Amino acid sequence: MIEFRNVWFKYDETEEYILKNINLVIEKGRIYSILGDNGSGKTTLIRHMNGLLKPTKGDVIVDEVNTRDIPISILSKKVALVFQYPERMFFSPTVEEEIKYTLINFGFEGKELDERTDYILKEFRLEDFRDRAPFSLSGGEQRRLSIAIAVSWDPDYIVLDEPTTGLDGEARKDLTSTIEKILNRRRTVIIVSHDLEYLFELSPHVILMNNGQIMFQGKFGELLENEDIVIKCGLSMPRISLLLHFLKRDGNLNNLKYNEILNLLLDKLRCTNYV
Amino acid sequence: MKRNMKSLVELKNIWFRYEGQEDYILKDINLEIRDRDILLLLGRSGSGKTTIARIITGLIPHFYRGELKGNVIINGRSIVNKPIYEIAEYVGLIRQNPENQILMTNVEREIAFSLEFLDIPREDMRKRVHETANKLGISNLLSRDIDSLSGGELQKVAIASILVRKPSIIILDEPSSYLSPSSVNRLRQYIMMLNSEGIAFLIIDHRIDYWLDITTRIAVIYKGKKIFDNNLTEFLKFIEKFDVGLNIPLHLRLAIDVNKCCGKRVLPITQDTKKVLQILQKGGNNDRV
Repeated sequence: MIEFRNVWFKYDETEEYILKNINLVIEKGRIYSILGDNGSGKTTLIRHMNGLLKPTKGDVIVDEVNTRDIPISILSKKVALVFQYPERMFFSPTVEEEIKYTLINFGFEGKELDERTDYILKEFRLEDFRDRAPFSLSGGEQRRLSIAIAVSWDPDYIVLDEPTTGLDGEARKDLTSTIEKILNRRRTVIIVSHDLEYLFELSPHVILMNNGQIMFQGKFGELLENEDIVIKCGLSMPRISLLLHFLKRDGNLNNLKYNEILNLLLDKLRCTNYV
Repeated sequence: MKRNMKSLVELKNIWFRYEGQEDYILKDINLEIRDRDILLLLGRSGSGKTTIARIITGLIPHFYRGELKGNVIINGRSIVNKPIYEIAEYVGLIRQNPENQILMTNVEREIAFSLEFLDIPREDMRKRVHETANKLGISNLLSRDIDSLSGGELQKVAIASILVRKPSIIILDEPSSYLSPSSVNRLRQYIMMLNSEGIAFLIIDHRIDYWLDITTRIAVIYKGKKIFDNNLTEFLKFIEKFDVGLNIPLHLRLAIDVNKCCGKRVLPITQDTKKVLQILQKGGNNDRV
């Protein structure tokens, strides 16, 4: 569990607070999305999760340990932060070596290193690319590799900053299946985003930020019922949400994943003899 | 009154391959950007979109080396052997990664920098910088250091530094990647205003939903070939028939999937979601009668 207790933060004495009294609980094994406008404090918030930043006031507690009391090198084994365009940090000649470099940094060696590398290559469908240069992969494949590397040492929490940036349709599907894989292993995924359309793939618990404060916390579906808050916080309503009102009249819209919406709509059209 | 549509950019039978690569990344591309166009250029990653932008701006062949065949005509003149500074007079490129185009350390100076060479009086320069900043909603950033900006803020500054010059065509390569929806809204309004003043736009973006409503034309590149070039109405018909890996907005994907599952055209593929809702509701009403 990651807990924010009355967290205030500013970079230096003179400026305004960037985070203002954040209280937040991230539970294990679930998927969260942190949403908000440019400059709302999303990135500053996630940098507190692995101790990269420490609160000016208040505390961040990761699995019962205060981030002030533990070195970042240990915390980052537990909490992996994947930044925007992570693939820009590739530098090894092959995919295999790129993965191994990180694992060696986290203390893997010998047989364990090889086994772990093979497992990651297989798990993330990268086996065919083992000897390829990371830069020769497509955009979606590069993103998959960078996430595979971030979870290679098996952190408990994986924080992805704008993971859909620059991805085409196919690559977005690829990202979804990668995230689902991580969730199946009962790890916690936290996605920073302002792409509400993408969240229909995952239907996460949402945390909406505005001007350093949390404006809304709840299910993704609940957020979509609060259009005025969504707009006020600099986001826009996906057009599909207009169609959800039609489905919602039956009150059976608990999970907002795209496939379930499609099936629900088909069922409904069938029972109205419209099809 | 029908406007006389002037051709600003013409790519004629363009083939290109990067140095050291065997395959051509562009294969016989013909593409025209006309006066007042807002052309949305779509395609999967690696399909050749950015390469097209590089050719129009002269970065190919001047900066990126390779074999270029065909002709590039801008404002009626072939640019193939022209130096970049002559092309830059007409074409502005806002690149994918804003960090690649920032030169100065302060926001106001960065935006003003592109006006330095245009022989504009200092007061007018100031006015244009402030006007552009105001329209993009970044007036509050003008006195800031570049280093202190967030990713989204930096992108807006990069966009401002091109827009302030008002070239006849502006290319935006993935403009929405660092921007929140409200920032994209502001950018979209500014694009529409500049477009009404006569500036044409070429927009490359995977977030199709942001641009569909303001585009005058859509072109799709697939494995280096142009496979579609027409208006929005035709594009909606095209995506119903072919899946080429684009990031189709969910309200359209839902209608396409429903029709596919039902084997007939139950829902229209349209940007007018209210119309779809009405049709769905009518279906419900029929049942009750």
